[in-house]
Amino acid sequence: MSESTSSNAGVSIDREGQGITATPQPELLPLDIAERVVAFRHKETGTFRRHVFNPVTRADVDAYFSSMTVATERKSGNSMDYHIDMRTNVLKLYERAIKRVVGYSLTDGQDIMTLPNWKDRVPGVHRLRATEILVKVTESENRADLGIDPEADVVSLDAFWSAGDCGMPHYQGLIHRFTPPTIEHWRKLHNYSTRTKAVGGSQSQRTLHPKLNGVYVELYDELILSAKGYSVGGQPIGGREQCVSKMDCFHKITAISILFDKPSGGEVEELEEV
Amino acid sequence: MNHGAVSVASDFSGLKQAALELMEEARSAPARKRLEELARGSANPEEILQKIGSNRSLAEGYYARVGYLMELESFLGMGIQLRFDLDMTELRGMLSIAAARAEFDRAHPRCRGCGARLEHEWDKTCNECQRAAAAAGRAN
Repeated sequence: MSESTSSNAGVSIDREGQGITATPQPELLPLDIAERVVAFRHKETGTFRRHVFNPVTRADVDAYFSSMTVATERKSGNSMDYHIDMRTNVLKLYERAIKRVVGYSLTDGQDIMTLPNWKDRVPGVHRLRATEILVKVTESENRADLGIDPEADVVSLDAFWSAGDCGMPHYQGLIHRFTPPTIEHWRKLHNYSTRTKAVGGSQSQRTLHPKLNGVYVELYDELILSAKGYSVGGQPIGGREQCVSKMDCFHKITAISILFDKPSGGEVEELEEV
Repeated sequence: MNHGAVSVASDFSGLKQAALELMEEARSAPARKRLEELARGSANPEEILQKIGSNRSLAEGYYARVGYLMELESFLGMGIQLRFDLDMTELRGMLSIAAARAEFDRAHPRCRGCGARLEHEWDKTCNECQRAAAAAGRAN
């Protein structure tokens, strides 16, 4: 089994001399665009490389997670090694969702797209980087500024979505409002997440963990009330129904994982007397 | 020994073993902490910490499952009315934990003086309570 413990599979973009060109935040993240573009710039030559993807479907997301390996292995004492193979599944998603690339030339000057196997000829590190940007969703950095919602639990996300002429807009403060989870939701997640396999027998030190994407998406669809910061058909996303049917699965998964990771006794915040 | 992939949620003897080890771990936590502090102050802390090692003999998934089942058990113990049925692996898993707890209670009865868990099943009181009783006897 090929494994890497690094979340970005050991890719260092700085060494590759590429960077994302982030642009100021636009108004709403358009969930229903026909193509998503990931663009990055070669730092030395200044040339742009564009990777144009089809919309990422639920089937793509399931394939992404099914080819991911998440295992833990106990070392001496109680320390734990995490083995997360993020390379195979990232490349698999690229293979499934990529539509075309722009900015890559062959040695004879022709466009790489003239090759029948152009997907394989795009440098592996570019495929990895483009896909990582495509799926990158994180908890908002300025979440402490979230107001208190009297009826809902609120999660705020930041994400890249699709490049325009000026670079990759970075959407910040994408809001998801949830019905507070009950013990039934807690049980559903934990009964599933603790269904691990001990590989090599019960006394082996290696545990294979189940993929949580399916249960996370189910929980999102059960608990979501509304979202803010997204659009469908040019209009701000409506209520629960649109969130269930139109929301990107990676956004659903990230939002729910944050919702259930929150400490039950309230958020730990750095507060200062004034 | 089974060398295939074992489904942790259905390996009830493994879950009982993991529960016992977690209870032992909790019981010996203060002594272990003292040893770790001593090790950190020594010339070769890594070596000593490695020798202290872990008492866990099973794959980590067993302890995570037991943690879930114990938490579920405590919710049920609070009298919370559930609107869902527990599945058989949850029910049998909780029975395994109950069996582990009974075994742990036999192996480590509580001190008659202070209630602390004792080292052996034939012990009646802990060393601290024995010392206190002896000191009180001398004073009288």
